Amino acid sequence: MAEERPHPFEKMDERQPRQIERPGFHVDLRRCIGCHACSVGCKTAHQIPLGEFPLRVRWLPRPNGETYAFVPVFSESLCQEDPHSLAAGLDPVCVRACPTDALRFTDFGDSVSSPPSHTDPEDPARVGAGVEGEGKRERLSALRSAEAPDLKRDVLYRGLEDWMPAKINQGAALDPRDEDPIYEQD
Amino acid sequence: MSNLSRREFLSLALTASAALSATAIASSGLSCARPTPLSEEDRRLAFDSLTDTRLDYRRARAVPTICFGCTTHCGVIGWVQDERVRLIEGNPLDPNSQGTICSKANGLISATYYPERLLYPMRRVGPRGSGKWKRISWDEALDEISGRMRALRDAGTPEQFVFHYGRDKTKGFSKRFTDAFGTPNRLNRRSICSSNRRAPLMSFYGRDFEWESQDVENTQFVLNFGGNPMEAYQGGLFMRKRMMDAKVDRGAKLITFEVRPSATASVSDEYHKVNPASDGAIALAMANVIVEEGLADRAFWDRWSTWPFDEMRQSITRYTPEFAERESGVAAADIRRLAIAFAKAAPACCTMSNRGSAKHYNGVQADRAIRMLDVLVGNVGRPGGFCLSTLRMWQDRYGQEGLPVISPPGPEPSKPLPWKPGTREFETLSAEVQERVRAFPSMWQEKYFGELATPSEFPLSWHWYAMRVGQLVPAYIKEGRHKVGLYMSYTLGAAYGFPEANLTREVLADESLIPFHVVIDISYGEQAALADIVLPDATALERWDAHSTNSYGLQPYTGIRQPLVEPMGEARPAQIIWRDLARRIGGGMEKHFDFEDLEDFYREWYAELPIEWEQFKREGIWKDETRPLDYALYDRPVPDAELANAEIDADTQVIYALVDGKRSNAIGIQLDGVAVRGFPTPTRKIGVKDEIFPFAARHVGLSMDDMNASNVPSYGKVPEHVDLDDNAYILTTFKWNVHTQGRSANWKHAAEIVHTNHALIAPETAARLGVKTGDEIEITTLRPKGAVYRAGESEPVGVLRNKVRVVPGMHSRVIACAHHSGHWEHGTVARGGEPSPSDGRAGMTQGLPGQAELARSVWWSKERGGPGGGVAINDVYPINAQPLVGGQNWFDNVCRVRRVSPPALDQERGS
Repeated sequence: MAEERPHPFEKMDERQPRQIERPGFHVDLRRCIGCHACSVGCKTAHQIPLGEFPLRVRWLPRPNGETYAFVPVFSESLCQEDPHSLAAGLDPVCVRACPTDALRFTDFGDSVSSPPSHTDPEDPARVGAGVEGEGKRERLSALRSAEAPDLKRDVLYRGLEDWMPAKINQGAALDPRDEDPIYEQD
Repeated sequence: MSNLSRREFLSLALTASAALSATAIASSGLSCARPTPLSEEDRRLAFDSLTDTRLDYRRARAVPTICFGCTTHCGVIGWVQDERVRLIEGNPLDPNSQGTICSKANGLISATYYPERLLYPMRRVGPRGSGKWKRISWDEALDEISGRMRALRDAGTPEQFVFHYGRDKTKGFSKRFTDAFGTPNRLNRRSICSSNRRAPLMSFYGRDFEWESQDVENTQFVLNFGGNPMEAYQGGLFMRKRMMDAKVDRGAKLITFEVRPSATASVSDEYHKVNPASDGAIALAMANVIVEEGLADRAFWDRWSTWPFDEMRQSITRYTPEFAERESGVAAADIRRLAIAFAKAAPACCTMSNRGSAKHYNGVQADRAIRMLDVLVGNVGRPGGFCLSTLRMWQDRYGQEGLPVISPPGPEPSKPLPWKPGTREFETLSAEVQERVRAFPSMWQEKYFGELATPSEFPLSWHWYAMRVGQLVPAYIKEGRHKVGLYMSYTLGAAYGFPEANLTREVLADESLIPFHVVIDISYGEQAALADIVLPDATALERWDAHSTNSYGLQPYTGIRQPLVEPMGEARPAQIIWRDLARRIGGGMEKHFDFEDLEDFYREWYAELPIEWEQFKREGIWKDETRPLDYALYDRPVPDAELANAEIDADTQVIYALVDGKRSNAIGIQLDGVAVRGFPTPTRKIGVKDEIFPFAARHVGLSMDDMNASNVPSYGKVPEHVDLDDNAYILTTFKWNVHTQGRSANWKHAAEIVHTNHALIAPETAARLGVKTGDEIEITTLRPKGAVYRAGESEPVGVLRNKVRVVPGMHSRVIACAHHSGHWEHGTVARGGEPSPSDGRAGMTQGLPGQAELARSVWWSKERGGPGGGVAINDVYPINAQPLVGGQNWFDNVCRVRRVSPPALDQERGS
């Protein structure tokens, strides 16, 4: 579970900066509700211009289904893991903004669940790493899409399904091929 | 980027401005509506008031307040640096939100620093609605308004001052203003929103408790009839985290009945597409199954329900799962299976519903049927069940003893007197209305205040408390049912958002109907465009408000909205505007506004709170964590001290307090020899069977065959849905999760995520119409049937054209358009980059920085090859007030649809 929230009222000057060796995120897709609180919080705090998305929440139509899957997608080039919050000993804004604990900030440098360093030769779109969770091994996956060089590397997803990477296209950037019912751009 | 370079960049970013690269986007060779990178000059212009774009948490102040992004009202914390609010996040002390927010919280920052926000009072020059304005001083504005208001008072016709708000959370402050002035016409838009939902709660439980508070944290099974707590269920967003935790951590099930694949439907364990307005049939069939399977909690029902069990059983036998399948399209086997699963999970199960079930002709009855399921399985007030917990009216007797009484400082003005036969006001009514009111019982005559405040055809809109029927107000004014002297719109978007908004605009533009129109708002919207004087309001980040609502944490609490920063420009909090008007109007009004500093007023309001004011301000929330949770309040004993001066009615066992030896308020009920609180209904029981419905129906001449006249939960088809032919569709509307009515359209980060409202249709519907995504259709809406406004008229209500988006998971009979797009005022972002037809800039001059950003980076504008800002759709929704209660039947609209061929290049605004 996510660590306890900081109580961000007072004595901020006494807080120690987060010492992060290799910053990254865990995303629990079972918990994401597609609300965009993470990306709007990020863009507000860092005054990101319209059209740029360090992080974008995708509403992916489920194949042969009748509902959506929600996938927060991080940009390799635009996401900086919120150094301002880390310097104040806080989690990044996106993590603090998430209402359902779907996002978790992680130091992959010292985590047992280190992200994989190489691609699975049998499935280049997807790389798996196992972690112990709730009594059984749960599969964590990095999001890899052949067309999306902008995908954030150090992000591991729980609940990523095989069909999802192919829908991500250009990563966190807008793409005219997106099938989301939002971010209209035709 | 390698790890090493990332670390280097990280340390660099700590010391330098966080100007970010747009390389990734710029490198794309695809041509479509997409942003081009801002130049450094643009960036500077966009943020030129900020000396340092970095949010430094060590230097910034963290100030708690209450969010106003929607009416959920989460406790939040705003980070303030250099006297600018830089970020909103959750307040972990809030027992409702549990420290969570949604994207709308940060919309408040967009709204506050919106470069096209109103900053100065302005007065129209030229005809009303012509869009020509000049900036005026506050003195000039307030003198003119107060002069006109004083004249109404001096003439003895204060009721001609009509105050109409869209979103007023001053918790009685505006009522103080209208009461002190002497007008009962403090109108709202509750019927647009929630009255069909509230009436069943008040009938069942005696109050709406602001809302019910399902104990989702501990539940195992939720039946959700059209609620959308993951996105837009205002007041219900507090259930998001609780529901997801319950699902993921404890395997709780969420079952959703909906017509479109909402976020809530998407995270549900089961999403059942239902025919619109069939929720009541499903609920009653489930009740039938639960009874026949022997799964009802007979002891709870017999103790608390006003409807005898055998009579209930007899009544619902006709609602078989097979009947419900025919009505709803949900398989009988599923209805049976889900009913059994729900009942077997009791008491850790609950229903959930919102507009999806309620905003229909049969919606009040549908919600009564849904609420009945909880009573039937006895989950009411139990862990994991359907609970009631509120701060409001702590002083009332509902087992919540020991809470501090908090109330606004005195002196409170006296209320206007009812318009009983014989009064001057009564004589202003038409003969037809007079006849109806004369026939009212005295309990209603004591609550009757004319046709705008208490429309006589909708007695259940004011029987419990004054909910009003806002969508009928423009029509009533046009028909001459009430004479208006001065109309004051406060944060009201009726000219854009009411059904048949074109009628609202017609009335507002007519100086013979509305001699003077004052608008108080934070931006220049469609309502302001039809004003004579526009006054700039403070945003939620610049103002005080008392906060209270129900508590999903089951511990009553309170919070304070406090200013994080001074209002921008010359904007003023509405309370100050009303105070200064009251002082100018005089005549005794001023003594109710005897304060200089608003903080002093609110400090006194919270004087009884057991913590110091400064601590309350620092924490933003007060709660007593030592209190037991609000489970089963109805079974709590009536204290001996109260029983000592009370008597028990021999027939009903209701316990009444005695005042001077006479019966006063009911304080409990004697059950099995024990005096307990019961519910705050007249019977102190749960009003599953309630004679108020047929009673009201008889008084307004509604047929006893109409489902709305039923004393017990019942189901009937929406009149215009009977025998629909294959070419008829039902037009429905909804909110995306980043938006909140029309007010969020100028929040730039929300608008860039959702800026259009394409017509969402199912693949099979698209095939039938011969359209694909991107094609254009024409939707023609028809008048409703039944006992409603202009029922059955053959002339269509309106016609709109919109582009289609094919969405798997849509109900094949339903066409859904989000209702917050298509503004033609409200600024560049809201208009999707289109120019404004009028010029409200007089109120914005010397405005905020960032205009360069707006002009050049609304990447979805048509000018930049994008889809623009969507289509205004509210003109084509018929005014359709549910009989008796008056809630707008937003989701009943029968329409015809045709493909526009060839697809037009330009979209037209609705009608």
